Amino acid sequence: MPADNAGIENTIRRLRFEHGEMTQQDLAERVSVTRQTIIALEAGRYAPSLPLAVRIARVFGVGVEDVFQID
Amino acid sequence: MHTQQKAAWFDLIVIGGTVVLYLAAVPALSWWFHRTLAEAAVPALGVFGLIGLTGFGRLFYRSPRGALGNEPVMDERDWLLSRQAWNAGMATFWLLFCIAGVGTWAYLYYLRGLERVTVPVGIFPAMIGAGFIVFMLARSVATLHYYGWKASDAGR
Repeated sequence: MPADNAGIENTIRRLRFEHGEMTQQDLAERVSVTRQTIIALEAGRYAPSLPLAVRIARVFGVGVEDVFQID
Repeated sequence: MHTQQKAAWFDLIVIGGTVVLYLAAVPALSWWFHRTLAEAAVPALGVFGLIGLTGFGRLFYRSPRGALGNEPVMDERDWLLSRQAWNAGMATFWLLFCIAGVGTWAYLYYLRGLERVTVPVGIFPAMIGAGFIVFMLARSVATLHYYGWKASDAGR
């Protein structure tokens, strides 16, 4: 897989469940990406761009570093 | 199945189907026009015009009719993978194109000698056409390699 995660881990799955068990589809639509990208993010197989990371953090109402952490 | 996977599979099916049709057309033309297989092989190349059907692959990139929500057809990850698949296709094309260009000259030099070596002008458009097919093939295979070959692989 060429689009690797560059050593970035995330808590998207946990945050989704803490926000009313939000589905991957819901999150994808709210940040304007495909559901497959959310799946790849949660699996740690893709490092998002900065704008996407900020959009995801805003959906959950937390800071970017609360969602993404570098090893 | 992701849009990119559908488009890649469509390209592979069109290219594969065209090759099968070509292999069927050679003996058919040979039998119909009472020519040898070698003589029929050149006019049968017209079958490769069907490769143009790959242009319909763009239809996969339309948003589904009546789709709700804000999910795009392509996002940043798709563009990244698309660019990498494109690079794989171009690299394969350029490698084979250079080998074919030098190889043709070397082969004719071997046959005719330095003073009489001339590359037939028809070789060049044939190389471009074959190169386009190689590019499409390599790009499609790379796309399916990145996304996975099955529908369930799309987000891997």
